[in-house]
Amino acid sequence: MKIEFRNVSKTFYGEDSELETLNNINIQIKEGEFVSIIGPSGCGKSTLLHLMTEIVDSFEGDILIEGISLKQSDKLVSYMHQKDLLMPWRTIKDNVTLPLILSGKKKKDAYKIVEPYYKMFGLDGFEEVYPNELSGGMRQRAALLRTFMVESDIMLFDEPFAAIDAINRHKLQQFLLERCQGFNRTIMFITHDIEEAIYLSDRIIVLSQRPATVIQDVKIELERPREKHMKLSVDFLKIKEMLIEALE
Amino acid sequence: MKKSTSTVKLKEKILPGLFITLLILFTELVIQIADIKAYILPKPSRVIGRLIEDRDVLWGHTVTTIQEALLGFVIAIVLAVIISVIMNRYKLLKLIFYPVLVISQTVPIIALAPLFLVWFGFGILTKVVVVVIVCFFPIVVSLVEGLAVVDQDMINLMKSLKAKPLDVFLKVQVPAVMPAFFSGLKIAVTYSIMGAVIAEWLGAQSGLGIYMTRAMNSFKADALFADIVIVVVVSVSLFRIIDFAGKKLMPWHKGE
Ligand SMILES: Nc1ncnc2c1ncn2[C@@H]1O[C@H](COP(=O)(O)OP(=O)(O)O)[C@@H](O)[C@H]1O
Ligand SMILES: [Mg+2]
Repeated sequence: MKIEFRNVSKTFYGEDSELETLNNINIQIKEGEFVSIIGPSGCGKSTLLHLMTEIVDSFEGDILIEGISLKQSDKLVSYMHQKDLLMPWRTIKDNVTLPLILSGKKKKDAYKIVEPYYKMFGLDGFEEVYPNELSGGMRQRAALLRTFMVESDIMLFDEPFAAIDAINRHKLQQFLLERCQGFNRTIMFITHDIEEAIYLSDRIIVLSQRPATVIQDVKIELERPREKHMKLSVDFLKIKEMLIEALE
Repeated sequence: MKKSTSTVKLKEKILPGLFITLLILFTELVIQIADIKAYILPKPSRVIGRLIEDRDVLWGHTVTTIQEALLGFVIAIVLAVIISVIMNRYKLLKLIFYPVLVISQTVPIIALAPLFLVWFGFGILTKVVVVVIVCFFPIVVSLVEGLAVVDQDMINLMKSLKAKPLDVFLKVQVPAVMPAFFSGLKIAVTYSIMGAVIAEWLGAQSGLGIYMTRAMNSFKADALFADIVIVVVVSVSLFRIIDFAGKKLMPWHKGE
């Protein structure tokens, strides 16, 4: 297994409060799988990723990456937030190369590595520009490119397109699918958009209200490559209906 | 498009200058017509005359005051940076000391100043201490508040990339706090000259404050106003320099 959550529970302790957030989560994800996670807002989806990235570092149970417990593993995972989190003080070029710089690469080498990707991500000509001069869609593509620059085959997305309007969101979904093809990346993708989840995923995991438990684990048998018209197919709508019911 | 923005810029530059010039001419006229005595309110032309006449003396005083102000300003920056970083790192210290800091600001420094004279003497030390005290507060507040609102998600992103704490500090916290820091610096630098002048009132060999006291004691209103003009010009210039430095250091930070 590429990623494995074993009996993972998490409670946040406040000054005089306890917030039981995750309750005995068990998830297994195979190499190269694209798994979406959906669930009511506030149920603990983001927390799941925070545990994996060690942003939050105490929990019960165990998370294994390639069979090694998270605490022992020094494996880097790539993580993208709903907000683009581009640093206003860095040019696009310096933003997207940040993961390379932090992993110890020289600036010059980092620039060279990222060079071929600007075109692919629709950013060529904007390398020297500051993020606040770009549109929301472009910023999100830059954030996506930065996410791809992390030297890791595991990618975590936390509602990456939630703040983007419907038209651009579809473009970005398509874009992500194309970028992922042939890269053999293992992906955990959080969304509250059921259609998005079905469209992108090999598998969808449905979480309950907080404290979250896994209530459904649905394999999506739609063929790949995915195309826009599939969103209107009977199979697609059946899955959608089932998921809507599960969430209620 | 380009033309209209540049005319707006031109207006921004010309109109205030024009207004001030007219105001000066108007004052001149009113004093002339109403026949106001020079020791009560001198004509602008007399003030300018005094500036020219006393230029060597005034230059010496100005240099003294700028030295005191800048020395105090720099020390205030260093102290404010150290203290705000510590308060940001140890939240408990912030909880305890931040309110104290705010309360300390309500103490009228002019009332304490004579005591400083007893403690620190008639030399430069008293002046620098007063400047540090007036400059420190706006800088430390801008830093503490600026550091507090640094986007936690951005810091989390750095953590997910296994960034070292020093990298988080240098690559996120420092640049994020820069705009607030420069706002604080701009306020502080304008206070710095005032602080030095007030400290000099109490007693000094040289400085714009002592020149001011002498002018008042001998009812030379034109000298007093000449002094004030210098204080204003120097303060505004320092403000401009900081503003310029801020724009150069933060090319991404446009607007406001
Ligand atoms: N660091 C934290 N400290 C305390 N409570 C937290 C923390 N992070 C998240 N929570 C709480 O845990 C619950 C789940 O949050 P989250 O994982 O962000 O939900 P979701 O992403 O599913 O909307 C929320 O009630 C949230 O307030
Ligand atoms: Mg969330």
